[in-house]
Amino acid sequence: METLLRFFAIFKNFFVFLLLEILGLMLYFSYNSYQHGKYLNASNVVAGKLYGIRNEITGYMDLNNQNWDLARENASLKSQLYAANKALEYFREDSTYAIRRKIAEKNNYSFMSARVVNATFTKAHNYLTLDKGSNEGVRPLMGVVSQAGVVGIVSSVSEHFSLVIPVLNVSSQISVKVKNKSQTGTLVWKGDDYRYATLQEIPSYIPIAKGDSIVTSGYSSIFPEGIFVGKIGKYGRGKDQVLSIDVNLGPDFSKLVYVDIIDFKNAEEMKKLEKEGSLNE
Amino acid sequence: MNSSFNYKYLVHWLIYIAVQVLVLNGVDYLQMATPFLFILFLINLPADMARIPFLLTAFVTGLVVDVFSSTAGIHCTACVFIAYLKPLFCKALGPSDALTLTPSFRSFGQSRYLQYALSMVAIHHALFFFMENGSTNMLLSVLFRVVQSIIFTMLLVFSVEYFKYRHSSNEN
Repeated sequence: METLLRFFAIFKNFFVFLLLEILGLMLYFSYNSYQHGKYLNASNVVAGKLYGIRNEITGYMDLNNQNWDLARENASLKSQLYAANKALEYFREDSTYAIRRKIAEKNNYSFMSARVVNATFTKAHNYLTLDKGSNEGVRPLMGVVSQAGVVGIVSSVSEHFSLVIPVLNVSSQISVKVKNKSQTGTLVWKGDDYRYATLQEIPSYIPIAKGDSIVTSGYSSIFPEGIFVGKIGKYGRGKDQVLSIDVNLGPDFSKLVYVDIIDFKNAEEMKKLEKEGSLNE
Repeated sequence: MNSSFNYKYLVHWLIYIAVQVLVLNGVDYLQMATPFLFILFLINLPADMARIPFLLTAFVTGLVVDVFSSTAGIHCTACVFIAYLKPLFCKALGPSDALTLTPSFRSFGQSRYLQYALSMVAIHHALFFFMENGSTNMLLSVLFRVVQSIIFTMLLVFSVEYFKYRHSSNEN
């Protein structure tokens, strides 16, 4: 009996160690999946607040560059406005244009501006924290874009913050296509270089060229069709007659500050319809 | 341990966590791997601290950093692991009376201390990056990150310890 007790006393530390490791691993396996991790991640209120304060301070250091970007964006918007006005003149009498405009209005997308308060981009599972949450109407599975292109998808929200799974996350998958071609593929990230993602599932008979634009396919309720993702870099023939294409991503993920969250007002309706349709089969 | 003694370590803990969360977690921006200096808190706690409170300290420290870096459970697991191994490394790499000392340049000697710290840092970082990656694909790129981070952390460890060493010798 005495030896047994002594035995237990010797291994007491080991049991505590084992218990804590099991607890840690349980956290690891239950929180590191796509939609989980509501409280134990940087979108919780304490972490969000703290990162918000840090950004208030460090935000000033980059103001000069931000100003330049805004000025450049202003310039390009002005020129777009000019071009759009000209186009409007041309289309005023065109009936097909009126129909297309009605469809766009019916699709009902709206954009909400948000600030990135925390971001990583050198890990395999990177995340962004934004300063808009459920109070401002952000919901999981909303798309996030910057002026330079697609950024990612909202995965979880708290009252004032939201957590985004960016393109730079090995579990990110976004449906995209080559601009002006109907064939769609999936954009994934292999986890190595934050400037490039990989486009899969484009058959090798599709003619593409370096520098072609990649845009969103619109085959989901997350992104409207035609939002810029990046440009084709190197590409080569992969397995099974499928191309493996490097996509030079539009946004510079190391310098993201302002992003837009896309609210597709009819997302619920679209999902409901698709569900009903599949039930009828 | 009297109460003022505990108080000192609580302040150290807060400083290490704040520096890690507010400054070092953002080092991603320099396009290098992230250093995890906060484990120096665990490395430098007195080696004669009772085992179970020490393991619990490691768990809570890891958990807090996990919450701030969206890495649920990973730092936790890695920290508890090195906390459990600490007496082994102290015995193997420190001076003969290591288990009664508080690890530092002064108590262990520079080379013994650095060997001890490097072992702890290396194990923590390797565990962290392999768990963070979640699979054994891209083994090389993960190894590269591990090595980069170890170098980065060890440079910071050396700077902190050297500063402490100089500071304390100036007082005498």
